Amino acid sequence: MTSDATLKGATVRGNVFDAQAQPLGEVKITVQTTGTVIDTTTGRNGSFFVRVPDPGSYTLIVGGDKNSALPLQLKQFDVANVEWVELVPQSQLSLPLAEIRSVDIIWGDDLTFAADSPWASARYRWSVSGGRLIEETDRVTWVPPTAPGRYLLQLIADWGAEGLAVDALTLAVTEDGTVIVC
Amino acid sequence: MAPSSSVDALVIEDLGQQKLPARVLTAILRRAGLRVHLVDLNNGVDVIVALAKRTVPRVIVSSILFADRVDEHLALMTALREMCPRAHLTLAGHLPMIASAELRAACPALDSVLCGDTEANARVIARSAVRDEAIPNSRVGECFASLAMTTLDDLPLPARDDGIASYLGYRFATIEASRGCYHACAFCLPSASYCKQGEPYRLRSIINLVDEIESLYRQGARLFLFDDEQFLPPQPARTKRIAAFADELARRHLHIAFTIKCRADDVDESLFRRLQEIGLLRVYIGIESGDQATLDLFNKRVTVQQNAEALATMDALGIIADFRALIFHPWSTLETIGAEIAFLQSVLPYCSTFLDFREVEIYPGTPLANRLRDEGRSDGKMWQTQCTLADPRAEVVRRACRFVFSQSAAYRNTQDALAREWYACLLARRFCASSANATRARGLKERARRVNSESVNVWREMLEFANEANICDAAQVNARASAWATRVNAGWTTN
Repeated sequence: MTSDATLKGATVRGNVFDAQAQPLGEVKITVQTTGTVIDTTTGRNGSFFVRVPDPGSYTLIVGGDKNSALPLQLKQFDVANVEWVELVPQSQLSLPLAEIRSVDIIWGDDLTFAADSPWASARYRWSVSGGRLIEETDRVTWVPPTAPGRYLLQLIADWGAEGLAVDALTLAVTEDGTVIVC
Repeated sequence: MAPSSSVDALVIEDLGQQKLPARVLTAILRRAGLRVHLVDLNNGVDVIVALAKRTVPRVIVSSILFADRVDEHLALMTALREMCPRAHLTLAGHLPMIASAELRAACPALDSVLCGDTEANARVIARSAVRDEAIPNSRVGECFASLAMTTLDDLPLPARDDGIASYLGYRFATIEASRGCYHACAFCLPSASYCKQGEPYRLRSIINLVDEIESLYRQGARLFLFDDEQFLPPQPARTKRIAAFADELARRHLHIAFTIKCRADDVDESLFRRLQEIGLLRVYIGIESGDQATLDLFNKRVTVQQNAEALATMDALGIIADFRALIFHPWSTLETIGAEIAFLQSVLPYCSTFLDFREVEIYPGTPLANRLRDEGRSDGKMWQTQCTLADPRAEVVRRACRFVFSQSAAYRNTQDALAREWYACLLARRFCASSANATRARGLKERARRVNSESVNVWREMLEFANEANICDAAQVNARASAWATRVNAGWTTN
């Protein structure tokens, strides 16, 4: 953002490029606020220039893509410089970690632990920062180390692109060899 | 004929939050002559429905504190409607007030939603119930119209049926010195709600406030948690009010500890030193963001510099400052997220507790919600608006953050332990001066610093990854996110 006291109101200007950094001409540019909509199009070199009469909160929409609307707070004489790179090919792809999911470590008898999640078909990955784990079909058993200390038992549930979830417990071995699940 | 165990009203809330709305509503209904049962939402639907069956209430008020439990409240009201077909079922709270039409549409069991001044409307309900008259507007499910706002000094003291809770051997109580706020942050639900009610900010008189503190003090309370949106009134009233508060506590020999909420631009060294002298231990500061464009978007009217200075001042005074880092909002980009992390890195030396990474919640009726709606980007229920970030790389970072910093059992234990140890340290400093406290405080701060530094390192790697990697490759994203989560969880365990 720069300022130019010779230009009353505020100015939004910039360039629009495609994903290969080539200028995009004839792209519709909209700068709007409540009750005011100003439209223009980019020139052959991808540049645009919009004057707004009053300072305030505006939204810049490029190519009619409201999902990519850019908020602008414009003060008197502000000149907002916008470099816009089209990301359409990427934004339309589905992204990983699609859902918020959860998993819990359930502490069973002794030092046996199981996984519990409302979502089926996860690939479970258990790990521990000390001692070792004996993995069975639906549970793990921790064999603690002899050295006193605090150890991390972690479970990651992996559903691929649909999501990930994690739970972790602190396991402690005291000086007298007692094991505590925190 | 109703059974002898009947009551006139049930008032339901998540009482575990130690908030005041249901307790004040209960007190108002009792003052009007109703027999009222204050009920914990956490008892579950079956228990509460059984209670309603046994007690046959005429009025049931469900007080909603947070958006994430709205669906539970609505399911409960639906179940209660079947059990109590003649009872008047109503909702209270900031969220119902703003989203009243949508909530009534979503839950036909409701007779009304308390709009306008909640307490004034509760009195209308109470009057009708006492006279055995129909509750106004109930036939067509309209909301109650606004009535004149209640003067805070006229409210009865909150019903504390569940006694005064205790923490680390100290009894504590939630209390309020004011309601609302004279600022207009674009995300703030209480601000939108109080503005709709017509009186954005109200204060209790100091005498009335200290009367309640004294009453609780006589019952053993020493720690007071002020739940005000804005504890400090604007100047010039502020200085006088704090002086009057200090004088009144001293005059009545009330040696207390307390916590408040405030904004960064409220933090003035001499004022907070004075507050500390009269018992201030901990402050929740509305920092929200370390990115100026985001602060402007939120209409915070503070600068990043003011935010940093507020944290530095608190740290110098030895007052614990908690704050949320609202890393994500619907218009976040990798640049805004990067600015947030750079800010957090710069204030790490002043942070005594674990950093709390959040997304701004979009509440109905707020300027942010209106803007999102105007852009056609709102998804989900009106009371729990969702949206996807326009910048896919920022969106992937947001999703990774939810996973990497998710609240594992190890996190919860470590977080609770640090909070407990800080309170033990601060309360000991206040009530039984001990020379070991300074060393203990340094140790706690160092623990927070180690965890926070590692968190910031993980953030930097997440941003770098999002900037350079193929963010659509689920296997790669999951592998990196798993590695970051392991590091974060290891931090909880070793600290």
